[in-house]
Amino acid sequence: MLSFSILAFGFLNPFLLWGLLFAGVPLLIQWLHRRKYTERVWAAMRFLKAATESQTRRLRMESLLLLCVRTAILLLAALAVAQPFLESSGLLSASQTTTHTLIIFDTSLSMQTLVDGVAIAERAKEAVRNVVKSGGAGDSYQLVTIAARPEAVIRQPSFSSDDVLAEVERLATTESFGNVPASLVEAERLWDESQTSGRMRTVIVSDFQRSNWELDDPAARARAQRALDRLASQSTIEVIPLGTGEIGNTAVFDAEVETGLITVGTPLSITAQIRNHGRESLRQHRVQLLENDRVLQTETVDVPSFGEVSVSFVTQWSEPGSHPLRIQIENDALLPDNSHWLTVDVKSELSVLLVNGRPGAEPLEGASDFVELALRPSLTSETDALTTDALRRLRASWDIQPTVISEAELVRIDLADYDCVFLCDVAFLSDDEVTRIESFVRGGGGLVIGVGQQVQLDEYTRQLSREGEGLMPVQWLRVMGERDDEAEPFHFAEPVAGHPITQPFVGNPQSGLTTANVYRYVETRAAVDGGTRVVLSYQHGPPAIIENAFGSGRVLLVTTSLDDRWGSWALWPSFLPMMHETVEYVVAGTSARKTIVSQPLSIELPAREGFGQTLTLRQPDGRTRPLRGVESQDVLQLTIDDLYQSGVYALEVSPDDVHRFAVNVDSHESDLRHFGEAELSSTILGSVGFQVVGAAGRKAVADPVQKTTAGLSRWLLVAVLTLLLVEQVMAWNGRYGLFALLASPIVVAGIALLPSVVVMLLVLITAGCCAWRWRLQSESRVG
Amino acid sequence: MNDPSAITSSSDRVRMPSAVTPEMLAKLSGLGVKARTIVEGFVSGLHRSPHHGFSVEFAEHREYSPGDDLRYVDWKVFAKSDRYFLKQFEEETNFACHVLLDVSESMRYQSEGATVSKLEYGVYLAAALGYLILKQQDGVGLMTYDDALRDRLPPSSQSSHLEQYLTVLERQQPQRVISVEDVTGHGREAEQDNESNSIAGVLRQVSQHVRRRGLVVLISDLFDDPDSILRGLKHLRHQRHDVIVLQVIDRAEEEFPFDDPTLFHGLEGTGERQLEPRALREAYRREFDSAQRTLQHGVRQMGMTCLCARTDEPLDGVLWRVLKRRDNSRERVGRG
Repeated sequence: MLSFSILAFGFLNPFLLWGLLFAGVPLLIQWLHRRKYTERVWAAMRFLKAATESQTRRLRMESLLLLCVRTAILLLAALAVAQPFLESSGLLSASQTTTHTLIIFDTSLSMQTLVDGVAIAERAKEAVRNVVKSGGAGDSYQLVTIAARPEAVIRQPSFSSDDVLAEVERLATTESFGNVPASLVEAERLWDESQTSGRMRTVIVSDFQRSNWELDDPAARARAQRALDRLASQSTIEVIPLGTGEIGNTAVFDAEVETGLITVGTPLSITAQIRNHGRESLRQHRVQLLENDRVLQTETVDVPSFGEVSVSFVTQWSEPGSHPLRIQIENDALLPDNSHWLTVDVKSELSVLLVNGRPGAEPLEGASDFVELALRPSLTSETDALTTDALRRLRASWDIQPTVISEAELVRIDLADYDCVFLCDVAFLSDDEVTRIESFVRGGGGLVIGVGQQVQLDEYTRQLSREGEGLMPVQWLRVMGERDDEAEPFHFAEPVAGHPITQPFVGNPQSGLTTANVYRYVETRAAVDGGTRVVLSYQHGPPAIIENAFGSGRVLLVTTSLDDRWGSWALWPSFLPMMHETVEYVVAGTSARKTIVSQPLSIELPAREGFGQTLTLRQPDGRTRPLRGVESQDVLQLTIDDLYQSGVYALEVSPDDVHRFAVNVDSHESDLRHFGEAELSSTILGSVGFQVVGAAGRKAVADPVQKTTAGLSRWLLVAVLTLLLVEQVMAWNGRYGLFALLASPIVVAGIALLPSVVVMLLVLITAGCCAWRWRLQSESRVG
Repeated sequence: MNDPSAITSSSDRVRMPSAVTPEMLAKLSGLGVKARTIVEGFVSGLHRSPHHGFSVEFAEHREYSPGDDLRYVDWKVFAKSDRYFLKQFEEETNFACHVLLDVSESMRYQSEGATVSKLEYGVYLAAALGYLILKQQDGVGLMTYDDALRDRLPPSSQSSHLEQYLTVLERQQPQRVISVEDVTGHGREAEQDNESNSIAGVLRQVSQHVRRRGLVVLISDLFDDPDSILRGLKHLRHQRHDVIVLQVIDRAEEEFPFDDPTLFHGLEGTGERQLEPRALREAYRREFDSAQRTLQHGVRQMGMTCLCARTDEPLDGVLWRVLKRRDNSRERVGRG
């Protein structure tokens, strides 16, 4: 909005106007002074009366003037402290005052957009350079960035234009989005800290990208508006919009690995989402999958205008380890969003620990025997019924290595050596075992709990629920059903699509899931706000499989037994693939290890013996830096909140233990549509007066509205200084004081134009006069 | 004159007498002792005095002979006759001095820095004068007044008169410094300024009582209306009295040195004023000086002697100035 303000008057620190009350102090002193007097007898009353009569009017006038001067000194001082400002149409020339400029510089990703081969950020720098170079001596500057995390580049006002220009030169754009509310709040904070006076202005240099400046979130908009209003109340707002025309842009805004658990030789499907933010449709646009700059696959796609398409790649690895991948499209105006990064952890085998709570004397009598058999099967005709896709996975899962231990051995085993733990009809767990299992799961391990006749429900409720904070926040209520082949069995309900475990069985009644007989199960009740999720239910409603995310890992509770004691499910064809899906699912964990630039990333690693708390983080540009974690309950917790580069980061625990995670640019920044000059009024700027300034630093709209405090504050302070001098003279001799008062406007003008050093000298002289007069008075009293 | 050599000399050389300060006198007891101290101090410092005492008058001419004091050559006779004649003086045989002492309330004022009040100072001066005159075996009388004549001691030259003289003076001495409480007491009447109780009236009364021509020494602060004072002095002048006006003031009354806001309680029922002395000092001094100039000018116009003594000045010095001024005036008379 272009502002044509009329003459307006206000105060930067209106709350300091209470200082005006001090103006009453001279009156009070005068009043108290009149009440305090010495009494003495006097013979020469005749002369005293004569003197009084001849001087009364003059004395009264002088006394009144002196009182007025003293009151005026305090009034003007209080006004000066409150920093009055005057919006005027050039009444106070800017050349007479210094200017304090707060520069709000957009360093968000979109500022890297190339226009005619030059990044918008470079044009922004040039504009700021022009602003600084057009300033005069005594002008000061502060600089804050618009980014996901705004940075006060120049926090304290800098009076050196060279330093400011050097800082501007060093400014680098980020790959983050522009957090306008946070930036304006930071700018407001800088104003509060600046404590400067003079003409105030705020210069916003940005491309005014719509995604950043639209502020759809009401709370964020209100916060930004509040900060902007405050800035506008203290300074003039000047904007330098740098967005030009319509610029098309294509971005890879997302990419996902289809399979949660990847093992060596497992075909892996990667799907990338490509979005076209331009008016022109893209034909035969090349999309590549790369690993360490090596092209693995190349696809071509047609992307419609303002539309998006998916591109899938299928690949596999012969070597285990963490593989950094990149989806790359052809270059356009904005380069960073043409790449999308992800990491794939390929495992050679899965180690599964089966805790057998009820060992059996004969084969398949133990509580974990069926699970062991399911995880390490030999192919038989039974598997022919499986779908091709399931078979493929089944074959891939041959690398699962189950280890069976007894309940008693659990306390000695190092869980860090395993990817997944099955508790099969374990009666109860000791507190120490619960703690160790919790650490294991929190660090990314998987846990599957299978119940049975030995399970002590109360103990499980106490140890695993832990009032909603435990591994499985449910109440184990009671065992339902009878172990009787003649009793009416329970059946699993038809699985709902969407969950990886049950997905293979959706729409496949021949898979033997819904037809399996379950005679007994444990009735449970989920804890309030426990965060559990039912994966599979019985046909009459109660949950059959419950899932809970715990730390970086997952826990699954199967409410019936994982053998043939409580039903025939372990004997049915669905049991084997279900166990594999379960292992695959829980081992994949919940930690995606993927984030976007400037967003904090929390990582939990299982603490091992010899584990240091300081790890090394290798950035995408190859630089490394130490990273310190916090060890808590056998888990090393790391929070990284300064990820400003997109790419793959490597967290090096040891040479053999490297955890990689991907950081990508914010897809919001890919939409390069911006607010033009005429549209800026529809943003939060619309409610405040602002001027549009050309990139060359020259105002595009001639509106000399100025907001100045130095003009007034400085003049007020000079007036205070002058009146102090006048007061000294007036107190010494009323007549001379009157002359001094009449001459004070000239003195004010003189002092205001004098250099600060001379003004300081005058202050010292005034102080000297005060001291001299005080001494004279003291001496006369002593005399 | 019994011992004229003690106070009479023909030398041209003038030396200030040794200082007999009010502080010194205040330490002495007995007014007689104080008077003698002043006079002796005055005499000891006056080895060669240019005057001839109070009681000498022109008698005849005699022809000049070498070695005579040229000051006494009568130049008018020389102009007429072209011969040098000296003026010869003779002792008065019936000289009387009337000391008129103001004992009004205003004379009791004593500033913080002063050792004695104006009244005490006046008493000392009166005592010294009486002592000195009686020592010359001349007659001295005493009158005191405030708003009217109070004590009246006729002049006498007998040595026993000194005791009477000093007794009357002793009675005038205040027992203590006048305070604010004394002034703010009940029953004080407002200032009255009619002729009957003003200084003019008093001096008219004096002139009625003192018929015989003599010397009248008025000791007062003279804070009355100058016109009233001059009007009263005219009565004395009409009687052809030789008049010495000896004004006694406190230094503070002249300089008005106060700074803090003050409530001034006027003496003699002159009311009270709360003032900022610092702001008023200049105007006060102006008024004071103006009144002084008017008074002194008027007094001198009438051919009288007017001297001002501050209460912190040495008394023998004041006495010396009185005699010197009188000597000068007599010379003017002689030459005239």
